[in-house]
Amino acid sequence: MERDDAAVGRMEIGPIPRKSFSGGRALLWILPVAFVGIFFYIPLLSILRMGAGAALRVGLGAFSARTILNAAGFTFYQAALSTLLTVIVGLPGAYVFARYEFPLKRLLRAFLIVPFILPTVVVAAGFESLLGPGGWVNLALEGAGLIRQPLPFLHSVGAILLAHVFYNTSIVLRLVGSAWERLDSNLPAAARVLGASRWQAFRRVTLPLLVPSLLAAAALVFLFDFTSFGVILILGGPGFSTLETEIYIQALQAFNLPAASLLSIVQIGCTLALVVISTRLAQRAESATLKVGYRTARKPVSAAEKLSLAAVLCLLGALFFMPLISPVASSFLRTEAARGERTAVQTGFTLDYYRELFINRKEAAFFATPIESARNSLLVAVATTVIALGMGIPASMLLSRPGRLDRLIEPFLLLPLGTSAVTLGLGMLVALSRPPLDLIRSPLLLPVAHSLIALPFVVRGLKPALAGIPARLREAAAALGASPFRVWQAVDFPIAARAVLSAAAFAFAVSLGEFGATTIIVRPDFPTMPVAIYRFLSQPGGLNYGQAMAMATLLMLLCAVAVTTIERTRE
Amino acid sequence: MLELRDIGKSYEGNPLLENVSLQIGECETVCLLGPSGSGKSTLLRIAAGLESPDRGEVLWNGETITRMPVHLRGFGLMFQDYALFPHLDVGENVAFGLRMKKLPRDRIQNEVREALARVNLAHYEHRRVAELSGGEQQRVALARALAPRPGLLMLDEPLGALDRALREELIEEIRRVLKSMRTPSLYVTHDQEEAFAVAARVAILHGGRIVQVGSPEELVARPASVWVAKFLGLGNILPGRVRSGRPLRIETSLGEFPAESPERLPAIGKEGWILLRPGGGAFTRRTTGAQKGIRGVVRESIRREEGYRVLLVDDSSREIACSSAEPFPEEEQLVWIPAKGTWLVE
Repeated sequence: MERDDAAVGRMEIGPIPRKSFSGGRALLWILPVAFVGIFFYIPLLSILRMGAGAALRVGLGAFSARTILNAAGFTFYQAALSTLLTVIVGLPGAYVFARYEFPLKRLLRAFLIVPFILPTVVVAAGFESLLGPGGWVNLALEGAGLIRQPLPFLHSVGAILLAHVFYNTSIVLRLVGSAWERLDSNLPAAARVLGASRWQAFRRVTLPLLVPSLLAAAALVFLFDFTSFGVILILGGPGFSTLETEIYIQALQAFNLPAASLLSIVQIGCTLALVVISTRLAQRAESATLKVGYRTARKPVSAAEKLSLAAVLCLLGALFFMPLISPVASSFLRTEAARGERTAVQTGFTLDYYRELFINRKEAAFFATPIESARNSLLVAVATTVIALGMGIPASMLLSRPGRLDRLIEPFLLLPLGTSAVTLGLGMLVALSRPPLDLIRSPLLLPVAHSLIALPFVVRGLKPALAGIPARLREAAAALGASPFRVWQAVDFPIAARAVLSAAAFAFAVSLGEFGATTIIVRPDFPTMPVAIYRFLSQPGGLNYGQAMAMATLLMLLCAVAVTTIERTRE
Repeated sequence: MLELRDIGKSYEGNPLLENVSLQIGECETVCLLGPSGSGKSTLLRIAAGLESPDRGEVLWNGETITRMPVHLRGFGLMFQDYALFPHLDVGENVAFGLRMKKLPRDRIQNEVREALARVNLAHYEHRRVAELSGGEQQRVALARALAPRPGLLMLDEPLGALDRALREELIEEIRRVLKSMRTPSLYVTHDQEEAFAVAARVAILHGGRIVQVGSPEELVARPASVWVAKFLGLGNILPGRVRSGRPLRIETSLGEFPAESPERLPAIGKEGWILLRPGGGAFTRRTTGAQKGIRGVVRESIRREEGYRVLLVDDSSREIACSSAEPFPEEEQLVWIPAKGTWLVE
């Protein structure tokens, strides 16, 4: 015991050794770096080469510079409009969350993570079942006798904007809400006493102080809207194309890979610039420290307060819950005729759509039963989780106590975060479909692509958890004779286990819902659930529609399990 | 003139203020003194219009302003942590209230300069708020509150965050500025020294009620209750019983003491308390013979600004505090004969 105590004493007194880039660390780095290098950077380079070649001879068949300009123009237009709307919708919500106590606040706050996790295809299906020609809104209007024919909500800019607002309002709520919470409530009060009306106090004091967090949130929202894929493809329909959907169309429908590569280069350039801007703005928002006032959240008192609080919460509730509930309802209720159905349509409760998932029909778009896509999705998600953790855990360990070289490697690992999913898929299609890397038919390609997308999230979640473990615990364990591996096993892992579980659930959920990259590299005979839902939605008829909703409901259920796991580990 | 009439306010079922009435006359500074949680800040926020009372009225020059929104009242308020706008510079902070009045630009500039000069911060217009020291921030807050020439100035623990030397300097300054501008004011603090230094009339708040109003001299000489005497730290308080009425004598477990009563004379046999102030008594080393004082052993003599504070401990380990011009050696046997005590009721 004496010797151990002495050792602990020495460790505490002596200078903390700087982490050098030793052989052991290099060994840990090999796997993640090789993984990202082969599966992200090589495809990226292939795209650059092919796109640059294409740029030298613009005018590739039906493709021209005009197409790029049109797509880029619409991308910026819809992203800007979506961001503006999201901020407008999110601000009152942020205020309500920051300043008021109300029932179910904790639950609602926890629920804010749902849109992050929810697959785009499910959201698109949700809005389709809400606003489509056979959707609930149109059915209600027809039922009330207000309209004769369904209103064309779908396949419009409005549908795109609405889905984007649904997706990103929670970003505004989180970022701006937390800044608002930290804003000293005496500041607007001081303005009021000095003669400012409620509006003037907001306009001249509160708003300027919220600007850093507002800009940070807006930049992030803009980035997400800019790279949005599934929503534009499904809800926008054929009439609208952004850079992201145009890449997909050029690659898979026009089979013009050089054109798609050229578009990808434009897309990569734009998103990189947006990532840099949004990171800068986020740092600035963080450094704009606001002091905590003596009064933070409180219960609403006056009738006007209660009324406006209820109004804001109802609006947010409708925005968040309607697209979630509506596909579930659609999956159990028959409202229109299936194609080829001879008897009259019977509207009402049905389990047929779920039953159909287990039947292989000739007219179905599959050669297997649709439910197999669920099995495929689960397999891919499990493989993704294993790969993402296998790469993410060593990387996070190294980055939680970084040396100089490690710091250089971090952006290398996180860059996939700023690259659109469709570009990633295209790169793999271009680079990995011929020797020496002919992997395009490998069953592991999907999990690999999903892992690249999940890896930055895994590292971002694990790194702070590992870095937060006090160094003295490790030193004490080492002083008591534990080898580096034993230290990790005895100290780091038990503490970080929650973070690991959360990261695993996140990777799992990302894989379940991934659509952009999947749709490009997926093998036609191995569809995942989002791909299956998209195929159902592209086919006419009530049966396909119903099956899309049933499948979306199942996918939502699986994601709910993942989300619950994440939220559980947070507490 | 501001009048608060029967103000009541509760939050989530807990009463914060009950039947509070207070008046502030022309050019008068009234201080609200009370421990934290006594409701003094709530009362101030009600007067300012930042909160509305559940019951009662706020009157300004005889007219009710209970429902008038805060920005139309034309009052000034200095917040505890100053609440200076961090995105505006010193000059813009001071100009804020003047802008809200829509004064012409050159007029605003003059007023800002004048307001800053008044608090000895001339040429600070373009300084950033974050660069200022605590005392400078406090002065900017005062200049900002006074620049629009409010009909009433309210100050919420304005010196709470500052160290002692700076506080004494700033109390003087606040008093000087308030006097020169002839602005009536309501000053909230938990510090009695500050309260006594700044105001001619002090209202003591306890548990949401005003328990006593008076000049500092009145409060010290005639505390209205045991609680007030304890809160003001006036001295030793012993339970006792009225032995005789004229002259009033109180019997306690430490002996019998002459006393005066701030109110009516209490009836003989009545139970109550006696306040024995540390000052004004006499000491004797003759510990035998007839007992007129409190006998004890000196535990310590602590140096004070003037004289010493001597702690006596009696046979049953009770501590008695008294003042003396000279220190006494520890462990010395001593008898303290206090000056006339004050009869207190609960």
